[in-house]
Amino acid sequence: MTSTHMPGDRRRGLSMRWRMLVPLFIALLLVDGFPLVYSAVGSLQRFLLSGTDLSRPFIGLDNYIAFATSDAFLNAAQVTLVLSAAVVTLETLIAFGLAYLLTLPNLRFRGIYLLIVMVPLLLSPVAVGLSWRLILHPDLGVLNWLLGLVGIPKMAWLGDVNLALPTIIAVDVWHESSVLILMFYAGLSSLPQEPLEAAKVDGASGWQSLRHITVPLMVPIIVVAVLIRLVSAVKTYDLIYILTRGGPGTSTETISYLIWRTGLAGPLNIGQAAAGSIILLFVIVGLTVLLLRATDRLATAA
Amino acid sequence: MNQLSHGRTAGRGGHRRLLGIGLIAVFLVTGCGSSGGASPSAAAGDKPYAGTTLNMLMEDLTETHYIADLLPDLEAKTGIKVVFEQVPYSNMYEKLVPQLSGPEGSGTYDVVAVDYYWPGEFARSGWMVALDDMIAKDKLDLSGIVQAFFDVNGKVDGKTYYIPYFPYPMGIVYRKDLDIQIPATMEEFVAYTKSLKTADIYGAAMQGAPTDPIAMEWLNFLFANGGDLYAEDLKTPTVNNEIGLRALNEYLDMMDNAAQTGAAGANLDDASNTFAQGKAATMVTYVTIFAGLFQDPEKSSVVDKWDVAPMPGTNQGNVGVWSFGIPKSAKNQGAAWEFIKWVTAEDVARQRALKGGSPAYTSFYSDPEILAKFPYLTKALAILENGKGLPMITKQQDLVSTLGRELSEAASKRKTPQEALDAIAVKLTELAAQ
Repeated sequence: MTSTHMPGDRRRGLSMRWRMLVPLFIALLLVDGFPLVYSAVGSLQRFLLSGTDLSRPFIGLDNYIAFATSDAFLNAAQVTLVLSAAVVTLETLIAFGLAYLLTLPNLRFRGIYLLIVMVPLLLSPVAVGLSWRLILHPDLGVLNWLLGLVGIPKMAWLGDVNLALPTIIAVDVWHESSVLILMFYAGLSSLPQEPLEAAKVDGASGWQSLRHITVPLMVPIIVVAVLIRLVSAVKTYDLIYILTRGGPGTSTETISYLIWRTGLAGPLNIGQAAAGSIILLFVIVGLTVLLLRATDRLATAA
Repeated sequence: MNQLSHGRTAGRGGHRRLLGIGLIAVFLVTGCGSSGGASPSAAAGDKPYAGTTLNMLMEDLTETHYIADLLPDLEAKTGIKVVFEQVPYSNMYEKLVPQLSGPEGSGTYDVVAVDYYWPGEFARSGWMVALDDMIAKDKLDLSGIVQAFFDVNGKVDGKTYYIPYFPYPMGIVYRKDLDIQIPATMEEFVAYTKSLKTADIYGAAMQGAPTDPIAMEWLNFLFANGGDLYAEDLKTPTVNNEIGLRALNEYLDMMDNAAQTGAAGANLDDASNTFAQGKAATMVTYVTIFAGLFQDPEKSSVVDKWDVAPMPGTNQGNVGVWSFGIPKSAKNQGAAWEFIKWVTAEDVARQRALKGGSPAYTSFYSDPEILAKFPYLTKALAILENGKGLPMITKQQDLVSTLGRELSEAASKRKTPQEALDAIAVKLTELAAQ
């Protein structure tokens, strides 16, 4: 390119840019597009992986109806809702609190604290699940041993129907809060200092500054963080797989786990699993649209 | 949980982080196969498969380790190398199915270790090679193997698809040093285990986690009470009749009042650990697989303090059998057959038995050398012969997952025992038609 800004050059530059993106689009099409289309088609078929009759006739929306009206789905939807709401709320509150403390001026050992709260982020969910399974083991786990020292009887953290879901929520909070802490920490660190200094001059207390200046300024970041976390919470699968396999009974079975079990763990009903996946996809897209609109509204309001 | 070398576990990892949307896994596995096998060399004479590498998916447990120890013998005899991919039990089915359902010759695995709730599904889906012609051609003598194993996991619809190599009959393991007398009926047995529970020891170590641990354990209660899943026709469910209900009530009573804390979430590893640590007086479990754990002083405080017994009542327990078969998706079917012949042959099987394995040959249960090392095997043959496998329907795995899930619903009081059994019966009717 020369430095003369002719309109033709500019157009050529644009088309060049598009051409550079072609490999990416092809890759996206293969990696995302093909499975998506294949799932969508499969969800409309009688698609069983095993059995004496493996033909795949189209059966309309039967898979969707069967999946969405099953007791298992209604149960899984409820579990997913409770789990998502609980982890997102708890993690947002805890992460914001910790991030706020971490950005306090005059904090000593900030680097060490940051390192400690980041550790869970570096671990894979499978490693986290396995470690917690050992910690939570009723007879051999360290948690019950510690509680035993102060006279609390042994608890079946994952085997008791009333404790299993709260336990999973606690493990998830331990594991996933780091991401939010990181986002809030970055947000808080980059807030303009002038309003806070002005408030200080006007005699505002720390709590008043937090309540009336910091939090309102942070809202856009909080919304985005909550959106990202919510989308991943709705898809929760790995922790369930490792910790409880959906049990006791189906008390911790999420929609993702139900989809997996429908497709690969028993009935091998790929058609119904695909229908379930598409339903979940729509839920997630819906959530995304909703929250993007919220951010837009916040941006225009600001 | 820690490095136990056996395990039919429900929640143990080591597995890939599976994507929530199971479908994607199906697409991704295609093309991942790398069997690396060389084609048989014509010049090799009596070793036509020299240089071939066989890939196999195996459960990570002692029997697999015993076979792995002996593999150099196979390589010396045939030049075939075998690579075992060892995973926890709960990951096997989900790893096998995408491979087996792929096109012929496309799979990663050349030989498949088949658990006793897969034979019908794998064979009838057209995934497996029938072995009858090869058996006839090589005049293979399989008469020494307990013949009942072929009914459980060998023959499907009159054809032989699998050769049994490792039975795992279920019965009772108990502490013989505690002067335990197993009563005659299940009702008495449950009451007895409750009476054994003290502050120091549980009356029973139980494995109530979904899905397969609780299913496998409870089937013993059903069979010992004289019940069954289906009537003889394999169409009419009987699981929810009064015998089934009694069996489930007994099971739940034992879990609530005799078993360790958290039994409803415990898998085989958890329960075996509890027993190995000397914290349980009895355990309904696999009676022939524990030489490696309970007799290992490093892992066990019950060395030489345990024995086995059949289930009370009908003496009928649940009997599982592992067998080897060749999938149509295998790349090296010829070499795969050589492996199967080698591993199931009497001399190699005997070497496994002498290491502590669970023998498939009738004669080993009266073999003085084997019995001197593993005296509990004297009782195991009767347990084996009286035992019962799963009904030979097509979707056995689905049956087990359903059983596990619904029984766990009852164990966690989310359903009444009758509701759970009725839900199982509905599913059994549906499965009978598939």
